Amino acid sequence: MKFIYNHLCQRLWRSRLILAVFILVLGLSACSKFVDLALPPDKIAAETVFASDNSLISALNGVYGTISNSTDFITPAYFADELTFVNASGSTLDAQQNSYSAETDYQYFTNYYRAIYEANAILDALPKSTGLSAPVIAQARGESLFLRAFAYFKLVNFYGTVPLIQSPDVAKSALKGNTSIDSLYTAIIKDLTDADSLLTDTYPKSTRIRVNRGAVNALLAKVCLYRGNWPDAVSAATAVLNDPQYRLESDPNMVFKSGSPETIWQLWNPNGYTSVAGTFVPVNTAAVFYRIRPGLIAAFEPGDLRLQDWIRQGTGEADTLYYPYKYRNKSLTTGTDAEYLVVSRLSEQYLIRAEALAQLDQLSQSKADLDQVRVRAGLDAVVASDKNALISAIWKERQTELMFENGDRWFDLNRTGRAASVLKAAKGSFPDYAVLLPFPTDILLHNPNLNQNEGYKK
Amino acid sequence: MQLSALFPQKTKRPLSATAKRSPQNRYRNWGPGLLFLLMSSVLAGAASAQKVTLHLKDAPIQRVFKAIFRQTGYSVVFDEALFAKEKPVTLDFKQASIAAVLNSCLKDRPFTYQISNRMILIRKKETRMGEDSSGKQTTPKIVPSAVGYLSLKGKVTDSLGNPLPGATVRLGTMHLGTHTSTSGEFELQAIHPGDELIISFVGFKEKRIVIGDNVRYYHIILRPLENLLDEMVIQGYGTTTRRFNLGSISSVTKEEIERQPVNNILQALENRIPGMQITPRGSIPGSAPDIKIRGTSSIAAGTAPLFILDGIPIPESQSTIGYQALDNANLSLLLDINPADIESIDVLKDADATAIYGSRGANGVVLITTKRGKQDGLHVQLNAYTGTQKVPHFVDMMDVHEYNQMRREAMANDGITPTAANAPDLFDWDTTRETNWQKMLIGKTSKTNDVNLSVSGGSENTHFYLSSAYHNEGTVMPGDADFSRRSFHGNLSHLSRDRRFSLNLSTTFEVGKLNLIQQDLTSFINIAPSYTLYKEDGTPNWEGARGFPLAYTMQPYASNTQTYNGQFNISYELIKGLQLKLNAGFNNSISDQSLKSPSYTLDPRYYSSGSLQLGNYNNYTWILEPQAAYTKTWGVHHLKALLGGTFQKSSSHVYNATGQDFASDALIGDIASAGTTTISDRTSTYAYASLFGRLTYDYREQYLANISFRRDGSSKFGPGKRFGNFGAMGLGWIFTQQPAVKASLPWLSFGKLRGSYGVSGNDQIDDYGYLSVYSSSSTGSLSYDGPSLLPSRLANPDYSWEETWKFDAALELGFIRNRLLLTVDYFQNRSSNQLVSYALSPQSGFSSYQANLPATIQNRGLEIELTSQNIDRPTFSWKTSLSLSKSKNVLLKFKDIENTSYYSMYEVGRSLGLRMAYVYQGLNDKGVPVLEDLNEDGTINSLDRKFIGDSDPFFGGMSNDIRIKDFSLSFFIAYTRVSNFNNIIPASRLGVLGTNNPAFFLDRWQKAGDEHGTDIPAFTTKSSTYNARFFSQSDVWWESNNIFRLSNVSLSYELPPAALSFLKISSAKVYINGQNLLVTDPHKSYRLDPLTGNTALPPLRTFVLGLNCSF
Repeated sequence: MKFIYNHLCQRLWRSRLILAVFILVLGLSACSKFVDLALPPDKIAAETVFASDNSLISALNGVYGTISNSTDFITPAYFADELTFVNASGSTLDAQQNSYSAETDYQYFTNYYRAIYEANAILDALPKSTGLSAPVIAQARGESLFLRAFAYFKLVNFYGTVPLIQSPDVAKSALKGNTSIDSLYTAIIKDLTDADSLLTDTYPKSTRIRVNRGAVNALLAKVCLYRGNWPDAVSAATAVLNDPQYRLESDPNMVFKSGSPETIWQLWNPNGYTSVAGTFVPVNTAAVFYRIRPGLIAAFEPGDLRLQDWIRQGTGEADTLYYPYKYRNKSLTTGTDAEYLVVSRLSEQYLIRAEALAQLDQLSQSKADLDQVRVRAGLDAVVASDKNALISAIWKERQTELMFENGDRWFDLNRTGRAASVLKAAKGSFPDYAVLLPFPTDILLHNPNLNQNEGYKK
Repeated sequence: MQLSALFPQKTKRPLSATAKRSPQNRYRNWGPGLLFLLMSSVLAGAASAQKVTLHLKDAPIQRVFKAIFRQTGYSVVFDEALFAKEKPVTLDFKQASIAAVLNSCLKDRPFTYQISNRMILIRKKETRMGEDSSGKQTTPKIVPSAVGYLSLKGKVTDSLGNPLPGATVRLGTMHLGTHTSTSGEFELQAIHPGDELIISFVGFKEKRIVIGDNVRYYHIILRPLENLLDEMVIQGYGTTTRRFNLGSISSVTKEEIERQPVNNILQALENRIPGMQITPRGSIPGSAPDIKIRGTSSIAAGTAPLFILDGIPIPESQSTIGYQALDNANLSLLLDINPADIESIDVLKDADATAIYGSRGANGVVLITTKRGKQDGLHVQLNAYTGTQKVPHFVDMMDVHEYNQMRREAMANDGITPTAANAPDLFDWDTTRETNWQKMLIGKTSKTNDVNLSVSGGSENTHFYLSSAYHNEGTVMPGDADFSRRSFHGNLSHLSRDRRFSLNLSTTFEVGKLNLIQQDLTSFINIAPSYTLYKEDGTPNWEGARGFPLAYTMQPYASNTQTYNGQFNISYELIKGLQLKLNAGFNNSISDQSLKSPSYTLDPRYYSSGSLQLGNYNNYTWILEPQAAYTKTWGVHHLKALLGGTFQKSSSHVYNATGQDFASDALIGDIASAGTTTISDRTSTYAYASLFGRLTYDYREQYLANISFRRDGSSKFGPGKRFGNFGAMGLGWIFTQQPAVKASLPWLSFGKLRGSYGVSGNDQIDDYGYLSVYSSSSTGSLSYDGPSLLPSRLANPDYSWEETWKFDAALELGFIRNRLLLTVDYFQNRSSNQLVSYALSPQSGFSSYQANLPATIQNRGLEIELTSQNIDRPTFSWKTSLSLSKSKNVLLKFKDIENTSYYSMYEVGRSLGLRMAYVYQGLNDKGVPVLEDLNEDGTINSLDRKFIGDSDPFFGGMSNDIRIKDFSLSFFIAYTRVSNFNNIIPASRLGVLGTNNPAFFLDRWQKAGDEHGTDIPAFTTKSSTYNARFFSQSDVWWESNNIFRLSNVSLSYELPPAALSFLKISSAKVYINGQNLLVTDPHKSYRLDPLTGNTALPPLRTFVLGLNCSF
């Protein structure tokens, strides 16, 4: 060994070797810095998002964007008695026949919980953030609470006892089981009440694409109606109806235009046209794919402007087929002609108050509200002999006024308990449990604590 | 000329990492006495240092030699045994000549010396060096004194005349020898006629020549070695030989690749590498097959191996703009590599081989090495082939009458009366028209052409290799779709005159052009035979069940891929044995994709204008790897050490744009003309730094050991989790070196036991996964009021590497002088800390998040590799290789699985490839399949499945290479065990409008009672009749088949040189190669291929005719 040592000592170019080792060590000590990378330009860290008003508003807009990504403007029309699709197959056929199984996923669950996560993330971050102005914090809190309540309102009506999740923490949310419908509504009402105290009557944007107190009260009125809380429904609707910035648009053709004074909340889109029109309005009117069920056409009284303005007939062989025409724009449209998807509008508030007043036996005030909607549709004042007849008239008015609007008819049939009778008559069969959608199997598989809805299990 | 002495070797040493193809000087245990060699590196100025200063008193005589060596650099060769009993010496010299010192100390001793070209040979007077201490002579001949010896010169070349530098030339009896120079020349002195000259060189057969009386110059031609044990094996950051390799490494040679007319090198590897499972998912050029080495080791992180092209990690595939004709919408980037540029592909599997790749080695490593230049002379090689490709066989479908009958029967079963409205195919369509959709859509015979021109050559110290190639192939589908590739590969290497400085520059530039159509039309072969493509007015008929299939042929998908690969390697031998190296490289692959859908190719009932999708993908990697390698031999100890570091940065940039609402189809190529555009722009960067090392040691070439380690840092993990340590140890014992074994098992020419254990990691996850980030959605469905911000994922800062502990034990045996080599390799890999995209109920906001799972997966298996040189004669040779791999995957443990989202997917104790099946109980009296409600909840859903089997791999292959005179024949038979649900059972009903079925289904239920004779349900049009998805996954369709595929046959004929000489062609070969010629599938009547079924293009039968000329 000594020989080798000597050999090395003699031959080693010590200085050069030391230099090489030095460079290597220096290089490797830089490793931890080397693997510490800046974020790419298309991403920003969560802390940065909640450090300025502008980025916070962008994150808030993200929640609206997620809500507007929902597809529930179309499939619920199949669940109810509004629409059929020609050559339906798979999940569309199942939807029309109310024979959906847990194997089909209509995506409402995924999409609304995504919105809830985004709202929760904002609500969670706001108290920890610095550098935000107080009015923007209040605005963002109010809107986030509203959007969370809106998402739960949709979920509870589609699925029933969904898990109540109010934190973005995956440890708290991932395995949460069913929450009772009462608890869900309590949470919805609390969120709306809190939002009401945080928001003002002024819209943050002129186009009513983000919400104000009016939208909060409009949703609260709807929630109270669904819960049978008539006095609160009346007071919430009244708060909206008394607000001078809203009035009914006299021309039905203008109701769904972006500047309509009737609109309480609408969902922005980049090009001034909605995917609703893209779906329903045929490219070629000789080929109508989305067809209104005859029962809905029959529900219109003679002379109803809505049958003329909000519905169109096909041409040629298909001229007996009707398709929805509330939204017409199919290509880039700007200015007042633009169309945004309306989620909440004033005529519904009249109908909500009319129904709540009728339930409270204030029939003449109720009729007055109902007639506001009827007159705009070119119809005469309602004729109803008693309370029940009036309520039926209101329900029928809801059917024709609010058709194809974000599943309103489907929710209406369910909340009034008429789904089975009406749909059995319209479709021949309707299993009673089909008022609620099943939780998709994939979701159940990932959360053993979530129980399937009745009818979809033994 | 450099001279040094060396001694007989029974075996060649492994090629060292530092000096490829250059055997090492080293000592050998030689006979009973120990022979010493004192070596020196040749230093400039040593010639002036021939003076010796010595002051010794009663010192052993050996010390004199050592002192001479140290002071002069002259090697001294002597047999220590002979000096053992010599009296000590006392000397006092100052600045004396070597001769004076030696004369003095050898005076009165029975020794003589000889100084020859910087070497001093000391031998016994009047006798030969071969005589051992007992006085027994190895050669009876008494030779004259040193003075009478001759000097001899010569040159060593291969059969093509290329010089072989560094070849060993020695005298068999005297253990005196030299190495050839860079020009292959050598000179020996003190030679006596009748001595035997032994010439050897790694990779070549040893040659012995008895020196003639009057010959003073020899031209020695060495023939390549057939001994498979000495084949070079490429390992991570170095090379070794099969003999000394301690890792589990399998290789495919260029010959095997060249014989296969495939467009993607991955296809050339199918079933050829034990343990590497390559499952094609289609045959459209660009299809990225599924690759797994030694089973599935990860639940959710990637399972693809690390691909390294000439030292640079390269991406193996990349996503497309959602181009569905390619499986998983993924484009294989290896498609760009010209198979003819490949020298070898080596697949590293066990811990010993992969731990040096640390965090990226868990799934194995594939090293792709390109061709390099040869010495001397200019070699021009031209290889060209042309051929055809087609679908090997078609399925027997129902004819139009059977189709019509099926439809009527289905409606009758459903109680529906056919009308023009609900059954236009029976009323409006021409019910006698018969179109063979298979012929129409995938029936074309396509052409393939390939030209490859290479020029290689060089001078003594500088070599180059240049090649340029063009490849083109069409598709079997209608239209002009094709794939073409232009490639350029260049390699330049230089070795300095003193052989201490070397550099190598390797560059590859490839352009791949895919001009395909929107869809793989194979899935359309079940269109009703009576469907007509055009209506009476000549317009496309969109009203079939599947639209207008030819529309896809008018929706061109184009992908232009450009791959630049550049590698620069310099090394410098700082001191003898110590080399400093720097490997620098970059890889850039750019892919430009477009998919045009003009309005006339879209159903006019839905669309009024066309659309355009564009995608630009740019992957860029640079890597810098400084390394130091040290090789040292003393006595019977051989040591190699390697220390290095890696700095790598990769970035990818993806730019996608979709345009809609074009004013005219003529503008569809221009995204700026789109009425609406959606753009996405994503960048991600990955940085990687590490320190690695390896220590290789052997004792008497009998006991081998290898230790490697790596410390890795990766930007994919959160702060505090970025660095990980990996390492492995390998041990080996060549027991046939043991005299006792040799004596008792004479038929065993080689026997080695090796084993390794170690850990490597897996970091195949998305970048930035640990960060809670928001990304901007400026366009698209999620933007709101202009750009909005959306959370990208649920963040988890705490996840870390996935680790795979690998154990490997192998027995390697060689029989009949290593003509038969057998390797049996057993492995057990355990992967823990599973890095998963943890699936969640979407109620958390996302359907998954990145996390480590407390789960362990085990892959355990056996690989057998047999290579046999059955016949090895000059005019007739026959070689057979056989490999077989079987492995078993088990989810060993998974803490708390029942509370995770994986509880329904996996089962502890079973394979990750487990298959769950519904229990089929037969057809009922209506012909409807009845499935058992296992959990008795009144409904059939995924919880009613039971375990039926797994898809654990079992595969192999056999190749035969036969050469008779100028004819060569080789063929390869691939074997795969396919266990799965019969992939043709339709997931939809039999009997729906516009969909035809294989005639196999005619054996269906027709009337009550038939349920006892058939499992094919009654025809029906109703989805509610039975859930076919469940039925197709019921146990009745589960099967395991042994599939044999004659995947390659190659026949070639070497034209006689005499016929070529007037053309100045040195050699020429004509050949016919065939690919995917036969497959044994028990379901041929209704299935195109056992792997791809009837939904993806089956492997095409290819024949090519080619010519290979050398000038």
